[in-house]
Amino acid sequence: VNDGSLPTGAFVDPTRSFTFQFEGRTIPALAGQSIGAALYAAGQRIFTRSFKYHRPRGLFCVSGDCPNCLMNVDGRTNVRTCVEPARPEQKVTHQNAWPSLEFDCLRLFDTFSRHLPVGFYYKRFHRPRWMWPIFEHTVRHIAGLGRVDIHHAAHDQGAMEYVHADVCVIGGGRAGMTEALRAAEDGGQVVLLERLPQLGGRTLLVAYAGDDELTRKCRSHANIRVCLETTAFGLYEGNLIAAFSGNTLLKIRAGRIVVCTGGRQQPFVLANNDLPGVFPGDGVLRLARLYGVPAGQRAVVLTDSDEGQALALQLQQIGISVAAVVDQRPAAEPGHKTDWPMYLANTVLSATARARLISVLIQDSKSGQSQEIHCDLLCMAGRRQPAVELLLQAGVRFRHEDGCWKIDKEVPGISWGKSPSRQPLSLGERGYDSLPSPPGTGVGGEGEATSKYFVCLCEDVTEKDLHQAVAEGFDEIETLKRYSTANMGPCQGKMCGQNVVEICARLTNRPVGAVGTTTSRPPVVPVELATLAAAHAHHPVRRTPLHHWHEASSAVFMDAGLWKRPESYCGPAEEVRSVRSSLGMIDVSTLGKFEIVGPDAVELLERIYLNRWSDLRPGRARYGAMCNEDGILIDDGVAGRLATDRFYMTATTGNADAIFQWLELWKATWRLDVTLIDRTSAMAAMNLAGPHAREVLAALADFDVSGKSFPYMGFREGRVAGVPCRVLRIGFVGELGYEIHCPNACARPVWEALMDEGKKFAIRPFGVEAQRILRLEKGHILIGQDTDALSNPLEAGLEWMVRFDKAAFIGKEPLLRLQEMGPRSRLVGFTMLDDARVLPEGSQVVDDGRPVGRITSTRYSPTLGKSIGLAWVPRERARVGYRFEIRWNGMDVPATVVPLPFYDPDGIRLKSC
Amino acid sequence: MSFVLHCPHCGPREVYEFRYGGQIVSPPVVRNLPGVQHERWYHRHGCKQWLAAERNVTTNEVLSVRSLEGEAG
Repeated sequence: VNDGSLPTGAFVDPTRSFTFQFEGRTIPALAGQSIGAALYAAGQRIFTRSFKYHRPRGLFCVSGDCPNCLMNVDGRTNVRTCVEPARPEQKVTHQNAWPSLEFDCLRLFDTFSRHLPVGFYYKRFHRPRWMWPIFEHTVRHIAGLGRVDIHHAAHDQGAMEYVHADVCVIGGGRAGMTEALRAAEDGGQVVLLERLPQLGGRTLLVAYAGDDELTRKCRSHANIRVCLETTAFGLYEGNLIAAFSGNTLLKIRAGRIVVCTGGRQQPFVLANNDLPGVFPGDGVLRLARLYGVPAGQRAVVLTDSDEGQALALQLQQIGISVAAVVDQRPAAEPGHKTDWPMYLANTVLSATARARLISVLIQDSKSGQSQEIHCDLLCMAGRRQPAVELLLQAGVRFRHEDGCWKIDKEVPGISWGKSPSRQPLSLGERGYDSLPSPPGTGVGGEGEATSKYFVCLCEDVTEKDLHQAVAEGFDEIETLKRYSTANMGPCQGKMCGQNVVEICARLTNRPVGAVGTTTSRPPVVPVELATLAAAHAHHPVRRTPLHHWHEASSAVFMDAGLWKRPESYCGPAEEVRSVRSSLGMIDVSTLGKFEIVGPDAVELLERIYLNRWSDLRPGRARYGAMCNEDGILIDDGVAGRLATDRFYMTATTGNADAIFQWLELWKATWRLDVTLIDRTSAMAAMNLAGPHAREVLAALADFDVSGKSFPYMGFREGRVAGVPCRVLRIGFVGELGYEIHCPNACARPVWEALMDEGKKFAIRPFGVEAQRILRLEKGHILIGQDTDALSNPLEAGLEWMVRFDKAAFIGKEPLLRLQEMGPRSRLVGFTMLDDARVLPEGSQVVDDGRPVGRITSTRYSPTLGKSIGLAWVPRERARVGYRFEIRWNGMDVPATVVPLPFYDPDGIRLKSC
Repeated sequence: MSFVLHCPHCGPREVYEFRYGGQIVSPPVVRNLPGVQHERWYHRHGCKQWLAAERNVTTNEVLSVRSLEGEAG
């Protein structure tokens, strides 16, 4: 690819250029360049201010790991600009600095850092006590990185994709591609994840074109799905991989997972090692080879392995002159003549910068002599540590022994890229170089107040901080991490983890292997919440077969679970009047509708419901309520008997699924010979209610609907408007009414025929709100509205239904105990004493100023001309005429207990004819 | 929690397709102990049947899944 001329950048299309905005400046960029690379090319060197000391920080890893390039992009906070592709016209702004990146007032903290030692917030401002809230507020305000704009809306909703594969390979470098091809040749379906826009991994960073063939094979193989710009961030049990691509969340379930995530260069700990211009060697190569931006002109390479020579060669090829290679090893021969000065057994003591890096101070470890070398780059070619975060999450365990990684525990189904070399653990093309040497020499720097030896760039933790933390007793790696906060920043220890372990080992005189590692948890890289929420962004909507009729009749819709239901058409008061005085009809297709068939059908109902069912004759229906094992009300509804072994049962809209599962559970538990059919989505239902309901039904039904042959709580099968229907004569709203169930496909003709026939009685459709008023006037409770997870039938006014003489029903034992103890509270009806105000549902019932209950349903009754409601009150006060107050808006509003139901107490309108 | 249950009717499926239905214990007192536990699962996005599973609650390894009808007593 490269013959020595300067690289254009593997990801860059030099023919397409555009501009974007950065702090009021217009920045040119080439297509494919990252925001960070374009800014660097435009001369920007300071990208962020550090977390604690507000020191200037510039590009560092150029791989999306470290915290040095976090900026706000178009309102998105903490974007890793070193890898985020630049886009035309986007607006990029800095974070965590005031007034600007170049001059930040809070740099003050750096000067006074001796007053902010490790864990200072555990020690300072505890006395006087009143200072603490002020201090806490201040620290919270200053701390942190970007501010989240809670009004910022994601541009587009995330999506989610489930992927299934025989093999999932994470990492598209040479090792990953080799593994993917091998698995694909064996006939497996392979998914290959690569976080960058191209396959190749580290081979993209060197002038080496040998893998083009491998890349081409991978891309063209029918069994391999290559997912570029896709980052795996978590590995979970059952071989589940969580990954994201843009704002699409991928959940990948694979038979086998191969982790080929390569390694990272371990940074050196030295004085001012956080200055802009100090890079890991890979960072400089990425900037040049991937994005076509040279990081500087003159570099010093610091190394403790053969990586240094290799890096120096690479730097020359990308046009950066090498001022020196400083090798910490005492006697490593380069093996060939080099074009640059070699300093063996030397180390870099410190870096110096004004606006930019100007020099490094190196020292001979034998003679102690030091000298300054001018440069604008310090490239650290540290040992390569395998990126094991995902493997650790999968449960694989390692042990550090003799400078090598050894496997302690393997996990079936999880493997990692095997390098051709002899390394015990290598996740990528290059192995871990097994030459142990202590990082840095930073302890000596304590005398120099201005120099800091950074271990953790994310949290501004210095080597001195770790010393102090260990001296204070936090000498185990997990407590050291928590106390010093090293490893706890955006990189989660990817940059600093190994240095912290090695420093801890050195300070506690233990071998590195005895220190262990900190726990690795998902996510490996920061994931936007909008992406994680993608799984929940999809809200299915259920519509009844009459939905379009309601729409055409200008219904106002409301949500009822997943359903859309008409709340009202022309105003609930008008609709209530229509039902009471003449005729109305409501769509109740959302009810749960179950068919229960088999020899044990009646036995199932006997045990599920509180009341008796064995004596119900075919052609009759009955109202029933049910409890759970704790005697708590869970649902109610009407069931009708079609034949000795066949029932048709309804459940409330919101509970339909749960009740069907409830029936299935007890059917299986008791091994009853019964079949349950859920017909909720197959059947429509409509409730025709009002004094003229019979006349309308009579005109359309092919069966006798006279009061004598079809009495209250009767149940008929027959044709209505030519359609086979099931008709229940019930009265939820308190008027003569028929609930007509028919197949979905015929719902509209039946509904329209009834509406047509009802015209002579000025029929009106009514919505859920009118139904709620009507049922409240009638004193019918709504389970879930008037009851909660502590309400039982004995207290909710359903004690008449509970048949303790039945052999068994769910909830019998707790209800028996409750009956012995005596109920404590009661659901009663009330009206407001002085006015027609409707107080909010849930308001407290107070007695002598003390809260003793609450109100559950309140409405203005157009029929009675007053405000009515249901309330929980203590049992001793549940008597007609008892006066209590409802606390509302700081006032206590008087109300009084009245008998239920409010309307037609004897049910004459329901049953008389 | 991301394990897979092998539904006897539908085959291997994500745990998200199921609803947990509590421990199968007698007497019905919930015991929170590590190790293998008998529990009910309802395959709500599949066959809509109740199942009885043996699961190691420490490792989330699912040892067996059967129809509940054969299990309960």
